[in-house]
Amino acid sequence: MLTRASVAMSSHDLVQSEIALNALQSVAVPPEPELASEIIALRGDLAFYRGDPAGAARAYRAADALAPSAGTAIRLARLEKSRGEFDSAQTWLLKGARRGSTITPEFIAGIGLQIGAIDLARGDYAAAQIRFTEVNDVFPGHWLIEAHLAQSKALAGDLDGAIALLRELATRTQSPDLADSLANMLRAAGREEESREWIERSAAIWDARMARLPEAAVGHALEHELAFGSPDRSVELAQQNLVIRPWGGAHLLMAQAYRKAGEFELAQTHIEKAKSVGIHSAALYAAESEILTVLGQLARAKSARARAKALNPRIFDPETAFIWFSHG
Amino acid sequence: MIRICLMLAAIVVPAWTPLAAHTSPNTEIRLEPSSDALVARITVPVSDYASATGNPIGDEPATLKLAAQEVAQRISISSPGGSEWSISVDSAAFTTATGPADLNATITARPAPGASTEAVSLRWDMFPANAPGHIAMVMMDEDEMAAEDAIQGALTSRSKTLVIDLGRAVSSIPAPSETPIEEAGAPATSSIPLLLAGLVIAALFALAVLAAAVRLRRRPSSTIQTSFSAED
Repeated sequence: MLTRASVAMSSHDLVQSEIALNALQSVAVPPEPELASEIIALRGDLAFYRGDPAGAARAYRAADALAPSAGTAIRLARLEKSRGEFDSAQTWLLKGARRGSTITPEFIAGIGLQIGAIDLARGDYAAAQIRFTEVNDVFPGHWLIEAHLAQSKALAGDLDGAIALLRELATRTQSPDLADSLANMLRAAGREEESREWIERSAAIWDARMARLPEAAVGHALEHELAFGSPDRSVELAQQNLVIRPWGGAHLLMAQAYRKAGEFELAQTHIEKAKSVGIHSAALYAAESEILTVLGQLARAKSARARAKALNPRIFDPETAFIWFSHG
Repeated sequence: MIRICLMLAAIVVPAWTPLAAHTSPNTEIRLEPSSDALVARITVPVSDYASATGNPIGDEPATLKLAAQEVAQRISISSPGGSEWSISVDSAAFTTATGPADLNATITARPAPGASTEAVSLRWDMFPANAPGHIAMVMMDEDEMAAEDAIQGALTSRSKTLVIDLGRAVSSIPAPSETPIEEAGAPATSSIPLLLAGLVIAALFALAVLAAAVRLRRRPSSTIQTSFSAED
């Protein structure tokens, strides 16, 4: 039953995850501390993705106090990152790396990737590149790690090298995320026709995944649509995404969809909602700054811009547009 | 079994999940006013230029000439009275610095003789097709000015004109000897009247609250309750 709850959570199906957790907690035998901790942590996940970060924080801390595990540490890291507390998030990830009996190269690589993602979030792209290289040494050959390496090449100024590596990866794996990232870089290089070919390939895969498992695919399909698709479809997918997981990140995506549609006042409404549920990220404040500038609220736009740069001094640099994986 | 589940739970927190769309570069129009002209340095992401115009991208003279013509046709600057400024394109080139490739163009606009140069109405009409959210940021190109202060506004395909007070924008740059007193840590003389006014308002408010409290205390509590009941 715990596996069912975890799998449902990983496919963004909060309802099924909650049903499984309720069933698990209805049994008469009290669970062992390890199991009880994981149940509480999954309850925290439900709170987090339902837009209740305070409830999530309480649950994660309770779970960590009951039976500290890599899972509780990773969750607390995610929470801290969403609040812009990057040092604390990395500390929790390092704690997670040292915990339990789940230490495999894949596990360490997963933690390392998230530590590098925090370096990206704070604008230290060179540190992130070093981290991703280390991660690739620990667990070579994984497409997501190599995708981060390709992205780092572009951030370091080697756009052609990044495109070559992404093309090889996208051809090998048929991953629509890779195809989207490649299309983004090709477009940035002015190779519009090649970019369009990859956009069409990834769009077909996202359509198929949306038909098969919409809860899991909608966030990624939305990202594709925001970058390459139509404003109307972006708003539609963002609304769907918000219904499935009404957390701060979904409100930010909703804001970006409304921005794409030119609905700047609605966009700002969702920026406010994202902020009200505890999201504190450079991407959020950068979006807010641009939206408020269009709305003519220059003083507030200036304040939002300063906040964005305080979290990531490079958020407005042109190369930041190359970040496809682990942005936010 | 529990261990397997816990491992799964640790891995279900993915390294990458969409938290926000990736950032998209905007068009930027940087204005540099002088006593007799206004220089605008324009940066348009190449994909947006291609989408907006349908033109090719490249270093060939004909391609660059076409880009320069597009810029000249799609920007206009006028004085508040409607007097159009002349526009000349000084340069146009497709470049890649550290980020995505851009069209970089520089224009010089000059007012008609006698026209006001205190403010201008800037119109920009180069937006990608079906992209009402694409933004052209307008800012002053001044080294001394922080980026936050330099931003004058934004244009979109639904709002293509922005009035810019050039006098205010230029005079808002403090010279080193003119650093505002507030920044040096001393109270601003201009804020003293506001402070006094605030104190007076606060005192009046406190008196009003006190008077209301006295009136309420004189009433029997049952009266208050009855009165609420009657109104309900």
